[in-house]
Amino acid sequence: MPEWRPEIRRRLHAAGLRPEREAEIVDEIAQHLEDHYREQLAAGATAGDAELRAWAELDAGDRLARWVAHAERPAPSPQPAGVPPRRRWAAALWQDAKYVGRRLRQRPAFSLTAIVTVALVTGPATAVLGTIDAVFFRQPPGITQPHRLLLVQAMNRNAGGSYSPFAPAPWIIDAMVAASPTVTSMAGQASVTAGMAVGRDDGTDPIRRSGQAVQGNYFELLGIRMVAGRAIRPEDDAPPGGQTAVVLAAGVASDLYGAPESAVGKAILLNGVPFTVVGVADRAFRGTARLDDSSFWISGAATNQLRHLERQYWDRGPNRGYYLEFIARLNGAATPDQAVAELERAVKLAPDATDRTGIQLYPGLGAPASANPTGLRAVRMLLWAVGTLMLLGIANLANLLLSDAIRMTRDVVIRRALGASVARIAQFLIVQSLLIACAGAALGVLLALGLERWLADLSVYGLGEVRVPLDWRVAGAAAALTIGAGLAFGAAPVWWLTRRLPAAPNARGGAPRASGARHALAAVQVAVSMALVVSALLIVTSVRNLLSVEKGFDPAGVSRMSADLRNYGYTQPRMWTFYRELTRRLSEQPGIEAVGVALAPPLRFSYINRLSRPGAPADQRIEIITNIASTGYFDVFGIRATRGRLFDESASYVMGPPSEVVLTHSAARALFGDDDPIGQAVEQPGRTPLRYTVVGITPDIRSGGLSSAIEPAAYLPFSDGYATLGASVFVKSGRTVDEATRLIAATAAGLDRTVPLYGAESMDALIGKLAAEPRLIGRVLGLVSVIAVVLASVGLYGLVWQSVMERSRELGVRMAIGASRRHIAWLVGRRMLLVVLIGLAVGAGAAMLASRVLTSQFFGVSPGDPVILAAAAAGLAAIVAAAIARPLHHATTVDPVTVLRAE
Amino acid sequence: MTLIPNASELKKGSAELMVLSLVEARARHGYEIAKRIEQLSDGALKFHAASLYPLLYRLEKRGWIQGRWHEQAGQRRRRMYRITPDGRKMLAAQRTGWETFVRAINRITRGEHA
Repeated sequence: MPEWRPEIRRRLHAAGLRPEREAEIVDEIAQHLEDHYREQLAAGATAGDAELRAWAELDAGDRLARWVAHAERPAPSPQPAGVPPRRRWAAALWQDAKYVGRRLRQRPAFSLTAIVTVALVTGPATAVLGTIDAVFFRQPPGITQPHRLLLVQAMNRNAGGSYSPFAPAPWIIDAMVAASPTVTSMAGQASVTAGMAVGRDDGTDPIRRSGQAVQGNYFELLGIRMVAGRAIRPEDDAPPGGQTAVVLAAGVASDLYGAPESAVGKAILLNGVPFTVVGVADRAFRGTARLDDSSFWISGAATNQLRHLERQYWDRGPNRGYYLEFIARLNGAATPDQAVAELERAVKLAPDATDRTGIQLYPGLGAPASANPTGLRAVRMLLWAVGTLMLLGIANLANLLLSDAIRMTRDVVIRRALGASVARIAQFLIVQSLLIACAGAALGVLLALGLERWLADLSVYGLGEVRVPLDWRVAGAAAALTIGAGLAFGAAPVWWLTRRLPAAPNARGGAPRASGARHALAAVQVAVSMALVVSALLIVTSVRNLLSVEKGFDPAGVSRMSADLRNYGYTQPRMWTFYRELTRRLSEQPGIEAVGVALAPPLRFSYINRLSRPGAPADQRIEIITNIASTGYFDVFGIRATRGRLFDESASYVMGPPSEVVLTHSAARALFGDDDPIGQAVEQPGRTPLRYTVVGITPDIRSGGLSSAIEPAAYLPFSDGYATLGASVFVKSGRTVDEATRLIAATAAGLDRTVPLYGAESMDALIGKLAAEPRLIGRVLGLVSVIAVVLASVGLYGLVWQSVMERSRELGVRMAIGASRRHIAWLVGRRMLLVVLIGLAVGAGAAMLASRVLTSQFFGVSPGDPVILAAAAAGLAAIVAAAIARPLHHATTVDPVTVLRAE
Repeated sequence: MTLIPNASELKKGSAELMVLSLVEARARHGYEIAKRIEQLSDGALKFHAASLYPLLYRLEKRGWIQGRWHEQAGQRRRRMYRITPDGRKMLAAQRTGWETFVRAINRITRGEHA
C-alpha cells in the first residue's frame, strides 16, 4: 500500500492550516485515495496503474492547497433578513455596476464607440456652458457684491433707434440718487488711455495703457481694497482740473517700482504730464467690466490735464460733467428693472432733459442677460450647435444601446423567467447608460479643455477673449447634463425591453428586432447631418465669396499704426507736421515701397460729407463717405486714377482748407451723371461753404466692410484741419507686420520719444476680422457637421452589421439555394437606401428652414443653391456608402455552410 | 431577483446542490459522495478529491452540512457528512431556483429548435 500522507501533507503545506486541522484533512484525503486505489485493484488494474490513478485525484500543482485554503476561510456572514431595503438596493446597484463593467470590457469596440460618442456631445456642451457662464454670469473680481451693481449711461434717444450718451454734472447725479429709493449711490467712470512712463530721462519709452477716470466715491462704492496708499477721493476730482493723483493697478506698480508699497508717493508721467502715485489697488481688481484691464485710475477732472486741454475748455458748464458711464449700487431688495425705471425718471431732472432723455443699461455686473444682445447672439449660435450635437449623440447612443439591448434579449428573458421585476431590469440598463455617460463625460472634459482656445474666437462678438474656467459650477452643470444625457439615451432600450418584451420568452424564440425604431433613428441622424452639411457649405461658400470679393484695392504687404497725438497736447499744425515728417522719413527707409497717411483704411471709412454741385438746392446734396488721405495712401493700396490725376505731392499735405477732391466712379456719377467731372467744382455746405475742384476719378471701393454695397466715396487731401481726427500711417513693404510697425515706431520715436504708437495691424488681419463672424459660424458648423457625419456613419455601420448578424441564417439559406451576391446586397441594402434617401430629403428641407436664421451671414449664395444641395447629398451618400460597405460585403460573402452549422 | 450566475458560478452552484441532495437522506463520507455523483450521472460528472473536499469544507463552514468522524470496530475511521437544518432550507431554495432555471432554459432551447 502506498504511503499517501507525506505527499498530501506536502501539497497542503501552502494552505497554512493549523496542525490539527491539517492532520484531519490529510487523514480524510488519504482515506479517499486508499478507497480509490483499492477499487482500481479490484477492477483489475496493476498496483502501479492504480496508484497513478489515485494520485490523479489530487490534480497537478498547488490546486489542492489553494482550494482548501479558500474553503477554510471564515464563511461570509449571511445577510440577515432584516437588511434595510436601501442597503439591499445599494448592493444590487453595485452588482449591476460590476456586471456592466465586465460587459463593457468584453466588448471594447461597442464600449469605445459609445464612450467617444458621449464625449463628442458632452465635451462641446461643457465648453459652451463654461462660455455662457463666462459671458453672462461671471462677475469682475475684486469688487464687493458685484451683483448689486449696474452700469448705466445717461443718453438722448435719436430718431433711428440709436442714442447719444451725455455726461451729466455731479449735482444731477446726486439728485438722481436722491430721487431713486432703490439706488444707494452712483459713481462715474470714463475710459482713458495714456502713454505711461516712469520718467522722461530714464531711457524707457512710454507704453500706451488703458485706465479709468473715476469719481471721488468710486473706490468706496465698489468696495475695493487698497494694497498701499489711498484711493481717489472727492477732492482729487474737484473742478476744473482736479489733482494729478493716480492709483495704479498692483501688477503695474510692481512692474514699475518693484513693490506696491514703493510706488506710493512716486511721480509718474501720463501723456507726459507728471502725476503722483497716491495708492495701489487690490491685485484682483482690473475694472468694472469683465474684459477691463485697467492699469491706472485718475479723477475725471484730471483728464483735462491728462489730455493737455487748453484751460478755456476745462469748465464743462453747469450741467455737464466728465463721465459717460455710471455705476449704481442697488439697495438690498431692488431688481435691475426697478432701478433702471427709477433712474429713467430721475435723469429727466437734468435741466436740458427732453422726453427722449433716458438711461441705457450696460451688460456685465448685475445686468440681466438681455442687456447683452451680441452675447446672446453668440450664445444662441453655440447653443444651437450643441443642441444639435446632443440630439445626434442621443439618437446615436439610443440606437447603439437598442442594438445592444436586442443582443441581451435572451439574458433578459431568462431573468424575467427567474422572477426579475421590470424595474430591476430597467435599473440594470440605466446603470449601463450612466456608466457609459460618466466615462464619456470624463473624456468630454478633456475635449472641453481643448475647445477652450477655439471658443476664444468669440472676440468677434465683442466678447473679448473668453476663458472657459472649468470650476465647480460648470462641472456641476456638466455632470447634470451627463446624467440627463445618460437617462435620455438609456430610455430607448428600457422602453423597448420592458414594454415590448413579453414576460415569458417568445414562443418562437426569435426576439422582435425593434428595427422600425432603429431605422427611424438612423434616418433622423442622416437628416440632421444633411441639414448641418448644407448649412456649413453655405457659410463656407459665403466666407470664400466675402474674401474674394472685388474690394477696389490691394491689401498685400500693408501694415498700419496710429499715434494718439491729440492727447499729448499737439496742436493741429504740430500734428500735421508730425505726420508729414513721419511719412517723409519712412519713405527714405530701405525696403519701404510706399507710405501714406489717412484717417481710415479702406473698408473702414467713417467720415460722411454732404457734397453737391455749386449752388444746388439742399435736397440735391449727396451723402458721400469720405477719407482724408495723402498721395502715398493711393500708392500703398495700389489705387490708380482712371481719369484725371491723384493729389500731387504739393497738394497732398495742405495747411488750411483743401482745394482738390478725388471721387470714386459712383460718387462722380451721383454728382455729375454723364457729365465729365474733371475740373468741375463741388461744394460742401457749412457756415463757410468749402469748394473743391475734382481732379481725378478712382475705381469704386468697398468703404464700409466686405459685404457692404458700393457707396459713393471721395478723398480729400491730408490737411491740418482733419489731422485732429486721429490718423493712421500705412506702409507697403516686403516686411512682416512686426518688422514694419517696429520701423514706424522707431521712426516716430526719432520725432517725439514721448508719444506711444498703437494699433499695429496688417491689412490682411483687418480683412480677416471683417469676415470673422461668418468664419466662426462656419467653423462651428463645420465641426458640428463633421461630428454629425461621423456619428451618423457609425450609427449606420452598426445598424447594417446588426441587421446582417440577425439575418445571417436567412442570408445563408438564400445563398445556399442560389441567391446571387448582388441579390443579397440588395436585400440588406434596400432598407438602408430608403433610410438614406428619406434622411437626405428631410435634411435638405430642414437646411432650407435653418438657413432663414443664417441669412444675414450669407454672401453671394442662396439657401436653395442646387449645387450645394447636390454636393452635400452626394458627399453624404458617399460617406454613408463607405461606412456600410464592409458589413454589406460581409453579408455577400457569408458561407452558407458555416452559418447554418453555427445555427 | 436571482441573477443568472456565469459559467463557473453555475458549476459551483450545481455542485453544492448535488452534495446537499446526496447527504439529505443520510450521512455519507467523501468517497461515497464522489462515487454516487459519478454513478447517478452515468459517468458524465466526476469529482476529484482536489475539488470535492474543499467543497465539503466550504459547505461545512457555512453551516449547511456537518462532518463527524465515525469509528466502528473492524472498519477504518471515516468522516461522515450530514445535512443541517440551515442546509435543508438552502437545499429547498436552491432546488426551486434550479428548477425554474432549467424550465426557462428548456423553454428557450425547445423554442429555438421548434
